[in-house]
Order: sequence, then structure tokens, then C-alpha cells
Amino acid sequence: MRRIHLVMAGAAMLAMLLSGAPAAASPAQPDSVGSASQAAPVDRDGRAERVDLPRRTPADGARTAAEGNGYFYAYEHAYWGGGWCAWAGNAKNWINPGGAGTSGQWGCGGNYGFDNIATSVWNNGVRHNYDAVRMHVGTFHSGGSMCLSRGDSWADFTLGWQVFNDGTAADNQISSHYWGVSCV
Amino acid sequence: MTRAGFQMWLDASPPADELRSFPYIVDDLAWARRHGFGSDLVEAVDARRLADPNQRYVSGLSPERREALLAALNGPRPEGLEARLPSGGVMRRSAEGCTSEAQRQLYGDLAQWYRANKVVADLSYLRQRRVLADPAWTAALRPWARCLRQQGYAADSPQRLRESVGDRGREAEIAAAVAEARCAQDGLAATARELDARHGDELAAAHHQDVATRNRLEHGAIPRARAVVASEQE
Repeated sequence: MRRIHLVMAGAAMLAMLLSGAPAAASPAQPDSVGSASQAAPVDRDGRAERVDLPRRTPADGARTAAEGNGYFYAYEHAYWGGGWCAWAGNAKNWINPGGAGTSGQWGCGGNYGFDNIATSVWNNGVRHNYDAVRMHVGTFHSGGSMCLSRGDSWADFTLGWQVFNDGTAADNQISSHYWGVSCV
Repeated sequence: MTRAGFQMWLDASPPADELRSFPYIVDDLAWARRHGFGSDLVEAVDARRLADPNQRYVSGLSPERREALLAALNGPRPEGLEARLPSGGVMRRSAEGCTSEAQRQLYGDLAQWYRANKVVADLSYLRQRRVLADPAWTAALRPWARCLRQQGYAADSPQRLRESVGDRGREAEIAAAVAEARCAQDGLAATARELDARHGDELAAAHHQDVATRNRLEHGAIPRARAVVASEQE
């Protein structure tokens, strides 16, 4: 989570910080990045891909991360908090996630970059040959990588333990991803 | 999944070229000529993913049904199973859903298998990290970069080379990947293989208990898997 987003998130974030329980129990909040008012997702190649907005979690927090629709999810904060992006497909440049090399994207907003923002990620994909997600430090799938198999998640990169295979700490560093055959 | 009210299709194996991975450098000239750094495969996979009967089926469901399917498949939320990875980080997954149910039947102790399986898989990342941080790798990059310079590329690392190609198109990507593979034949490819094997052996020895646990549980699953396949064919 980057400082600027703490400012942007406003009162809700402030309340969480004051309560001393940042993000841990926070629902996915499609506010600053995702937006409930968005139109159907844009697919540059004109292919129709059925995707839906992950639904806002009920206030009781019972379904923290249960709003999945067959996507790879990336969240701004730990434990699925803050702004988010979801992709049924690939995105080779998170600086411009609506640009070329992006498919089946949802939640980021048309022009919102998600580069170097993700702090928690979850692969809630559909089962087939290509249900592993490989994330890269660099755009265009360059630099160190790490991989999540279907169903797997990393809930909090801010702890500093998770690293890419080139040793780069994972927090706020993912810049591209694609679906591939397997993580091994 | 059928009991949960959903359909599922089994896939044929992906093409062999898609199963190749080059964690350090592309050192296969023929593969580089066909695929560059592999961006065409990423796109081909995306097309196949969209055409996959499972993906099409899920895309055709209502949001409520889709959510129900994914909860039945992957579990409702990514918590329940946990693996502390040797490379750092904690990976988690649901212990519920049909995937978990099937794996529990196969391996017996799901939590233990998940942990051992993820730890062993993580060793390959740790191995790659160690290779890339090894002084011998860094040293081998220098003559490789000199060779690249003679071919017109200023990059001093594989990452820089990929970044310099960026979105400049398929021909540029293939030319750069061919240069990478050609220059790697002078020592970098051999260094990568040596370091990969050495660090792999060291890590397997350091985590031999996890490797043994994973192997024991997976060997134990083979007769159960055979029995399942046999009963489906009756």
C-alpha cells in the first residue's frame, strides 16, 4: 500500500488505522480503482468475455474475499483491501492495464494504472490447462517472476517475506502477469 | 463438480513448446527463432484459454452461478491450508471445495500434502534466485553482454534486453532472442545449467524431509488414482 493511497482512501482508512486493525478485516472495497458504475469491460480485440464486478462484501465481513468470478485478483492493501484489479486474461503492462496485451480485465477502470501497487493477490481461476498466474517485476513479463496456482493466495506482502525469484521483495512491485501452464 | 450441479471438461496436454521454460535466458536457438522470448505463446495461450470449454461454460453462467461454481471448485475463500515457503512468504488456499475433496481422497492428509507440495515447488524459485545472485552468473553475464553489443544490443542483462524490445513487435523480439541464445552458447548457458544443478542439489538436501513427505504422499496416491480412473472407465 502506498502512502498516496492512504490519503486517497480517506475516512474509512483513517478509521481503520485509528482502530489499530488496518486492512486485516477489511472487505474488498471497489472504490477508488474499481467502480460499481463501470460499464462492460473493454476487450481490445473485440472478443466478448463475460466478466462481472466482484460484489462489495457485506458489512459483516462474512465474505471477505468471496466475490470471485474466475479471475486473478490484485489488491492495493493486505487481505484484499483497497483498490483492486481483476483479470480473466493477461496484462503485460500494469502501468497501462487497459492497453495492448490486456484481456478480460475488470475493476481497474479504463485508465487506471495498477503498476507497483499490489499488496495481496489471489488466483481464483477456472480449472483448465492455463490456470496458473505468473507475475513479473517488470512490464512485458521481464525481470523476476513469481507464480500462483489456481486457488492459491498471498494475503500480505507488506510483511516483506514474499519475494520474486530475482530476490525483489514482492510488495508494490508487480508490473505484469499472464496465465500459463503451471507454476513448476 | 457434477454432484454440485456443474459441468467440467478434461483438457488434452498443451503443445510441447508451451511447456518449455527459460528462467534465466533463452538458450535454445530453434525455440528462439520460433517464439522469440515467448510472447506469441502467451497470446496463443490466451486464445486457447478463451476457447477452453471450461472457461466458456463459466463465462456463460450468471454471476450467481459462476460464484457458486468457483466456490464449489476452489472453495469459498483462500484460507484453510497454509504453507510457509522457504523463499519467504506464506501461501494459503481453501481446504474446501471439490479440488480439496479430490486431493484429500488422493493424498490422505491434505494439509500435509499442500504444505510439502508448495514447499518443494518453491525450491525451484529459491534455486533460480540463488543462481541469479551467484557471482559466477554475474561474471558470466559480462562476456555475454559483450557478445550482444557486437550484435547491436546495449543490454547488460536478460531483463534489460527484454525491456529494450518491449512492444517493438515480433521481428524485433525474435531477433533479440536469437542474439541472446547465440551469445549464450559461449558460456552463459553452460554456467546457468551448472549453477541450476548445484543449487538444486543443495536445496533438495537442505529440505529433504519435505521432499520425502511430498514423494511419500504422491506415491501413495498412485494406486488410488488408478482405482479412480478404472472405476470411471467401467
